[in-house]
Amino acid sequence: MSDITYTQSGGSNGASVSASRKTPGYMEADIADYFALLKPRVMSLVVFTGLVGMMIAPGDIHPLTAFTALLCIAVGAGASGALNMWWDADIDAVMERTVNRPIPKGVVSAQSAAAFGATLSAASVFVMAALVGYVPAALLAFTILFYVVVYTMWLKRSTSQNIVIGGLAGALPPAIGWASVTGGLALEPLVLVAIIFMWTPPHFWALALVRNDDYTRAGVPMMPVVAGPDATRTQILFYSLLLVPLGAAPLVLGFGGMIYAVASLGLGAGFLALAVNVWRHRIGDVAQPSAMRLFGFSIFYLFALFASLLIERIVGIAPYAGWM
Amino acid sequence: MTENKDDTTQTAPVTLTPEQQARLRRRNIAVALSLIAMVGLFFAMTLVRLGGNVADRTY
Repeated sequence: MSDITYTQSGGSNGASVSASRKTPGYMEADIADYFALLKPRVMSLVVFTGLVGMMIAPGDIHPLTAFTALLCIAVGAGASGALNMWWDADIDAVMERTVNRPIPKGVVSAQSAAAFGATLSAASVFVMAALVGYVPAALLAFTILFYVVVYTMWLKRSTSQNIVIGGLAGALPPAIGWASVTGGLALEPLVLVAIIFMWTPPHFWALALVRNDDYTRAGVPMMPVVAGPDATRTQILFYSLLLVPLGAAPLVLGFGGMIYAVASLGLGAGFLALAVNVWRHRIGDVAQPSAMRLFGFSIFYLFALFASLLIERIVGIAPYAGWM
Repeated sequence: MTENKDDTTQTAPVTLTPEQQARLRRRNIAVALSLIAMVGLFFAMTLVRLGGNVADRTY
């Protein structure tokens, strides 16, 4: 055993005893546990969409400023994830999908996660304001507050529209990326925001159909829990019908080229086909795999849409490539 | 002196195992490196922002 001791004292008279006690669970936390609080997989998609927002923006940005902006977006998104895990620790503890997160696992205390998230939130906004610009910093602050306060603390436990409205937080990074370059906003980044916003309901509800028992046990009013799986399948199809034409909007507005046309129309058709599949297969062995297929494909769809915009800029065949 | 029986006023030392010490040390090093990286970032960004503006300034 170690000869290092940490004393924990309380009260006002300074009395102390020398009895040692079991170390609290959060002393077990390693760097990887704190990294897990940042929801790295969500963070990677957020950084990627922020990068695309930055790349399609007209004007120049120094590579180090661009790196700083992306770092702030990543840290801000991660901090939101940590604050979400702090607030939702009770829900995470009863859901199979989230029971191994650091707080329910007992390796990070809820207070440590809250302090970690709050510190990184403040730092990301401060650094963005000081080194990149006030508009991207304001958008980043709004994104963090919206995700933590509006979605996590309010909507998630109170309405089946939680991820519809809350999806705005996850949709904003392209606007932050654009504002990092231009110092303002325009129609193009708002179209990208709208695409992610419209993508969020079919993406999350496909997962919620599969994890319905989990959400029911945790008392989270997800659409399948409140309205039932059939109504959710109809809603998924409805949002998919809105999403696919919206996905083609960059073509109409002129900032998506040939690669984007193939990606948005081809993969959009695939998205619709899978959404129809989910709508049709309501019972039996194929119902859950259909929903899971749509969930997996939706991630690929969004990634491919934004990747095609990025590739068009990199190889110089984008309609707006002359701006770069 | 009277014996204090209130748990909240007692001081209980927490003994760490070597593994816990190692993890704590790694966490402390990570925090230190993050702070150093932030200082480095501010320094580099200051150079970027000043750039040629210092040489080009008017007196």
